[in-house]
Amino acid sequence: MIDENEFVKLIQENDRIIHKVVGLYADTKEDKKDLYQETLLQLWKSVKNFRREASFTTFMYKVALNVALSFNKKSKRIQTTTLDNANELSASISDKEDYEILYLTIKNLIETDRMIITLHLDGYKNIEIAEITGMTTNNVNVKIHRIKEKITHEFKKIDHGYQ
Amino acid sequence: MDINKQWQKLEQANFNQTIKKEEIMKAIQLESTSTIAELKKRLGQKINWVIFFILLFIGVAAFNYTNTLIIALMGVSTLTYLVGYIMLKQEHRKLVSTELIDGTVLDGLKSNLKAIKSALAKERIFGLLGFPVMMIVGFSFNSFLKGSTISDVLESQYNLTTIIFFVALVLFLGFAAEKMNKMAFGEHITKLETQIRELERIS
Repeated sequence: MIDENEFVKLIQENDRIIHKVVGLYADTKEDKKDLYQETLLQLWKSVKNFRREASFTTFMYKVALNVALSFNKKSKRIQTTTLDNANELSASISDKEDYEILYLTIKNLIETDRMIITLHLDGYKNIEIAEITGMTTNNVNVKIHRIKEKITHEFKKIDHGYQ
Repeated sequence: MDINKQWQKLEQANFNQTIKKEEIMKAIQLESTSTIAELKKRLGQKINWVIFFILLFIGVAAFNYTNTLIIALMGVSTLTYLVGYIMLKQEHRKLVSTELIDGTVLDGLKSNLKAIKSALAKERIFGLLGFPVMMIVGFSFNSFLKGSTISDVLESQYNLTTIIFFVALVLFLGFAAEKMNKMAFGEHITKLETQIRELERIS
């Protein structure tokens, strides 16, 4: 059984996961704060289900993503599912670094795609992603391929918009 | 562009803060704001009302133990509310266990959706059973105390009009509650259903 001190230590060692999920799933300051607190609370409540033979980061991801996908946003997000209009975006992204554009592109993906690509970029193998999400490994393979294609396509579109 | 390299840069720039111990301690002492927690709280309040009415029915029966009609009416009411109590309590327990996240993300979303739908359905069923019982008791109690029989109560024009009014009121309240639930949970249910579909879709 994990006690309070051990829990705090484990969270502090892996707090990147929470920041990442919160950053990618909440938009306003208020929503970020709520999602952040709710994630910590649910991690604490669910830690009794954690089996030590598994990795704590995987457990953390499962809980954080579960909370994020079930989270009720207070603010209604302005839906921009695709970066269709490169000119419209150019004003806001012209002075941005590539990694910032990547961040915006991932944030514009649908929530389940956002989850899969985040896990993939964090180094999880497809079989592990399948274990975390509940999808089949084949499905994960195809999805990752498509999401990467989509991201590359959006980047090219933005690049093309400048030329 | 190398996506992996950019991701590492992004991690360094955006996700590199440290959570303080005080923040963690504060967060774990807060009340949950999730839909499940909201429903759990709502069901908890309903359960308290059901207990209150059961005690009230028993109390009334005890004070009128010589009146067979009152005993029968209170007995039926108590039984109906007991069934409601068991139903809501089971649902409450299910919501408590749903709060603990175990299994995959897809499992979590599915159990979340199932729990919300089931809690709302049980609330609806109890509303349809519980409200009429409560209204009939409230409405006919006085007449029974004065010695009237069930057929006396039903024969009166005034009583019939009142019953029709109550039926209409129950239907309206049911409709309003349905609308309110749709407003409060409809969007959330749709969101969960979409995510489950997305995760289950065969590419």
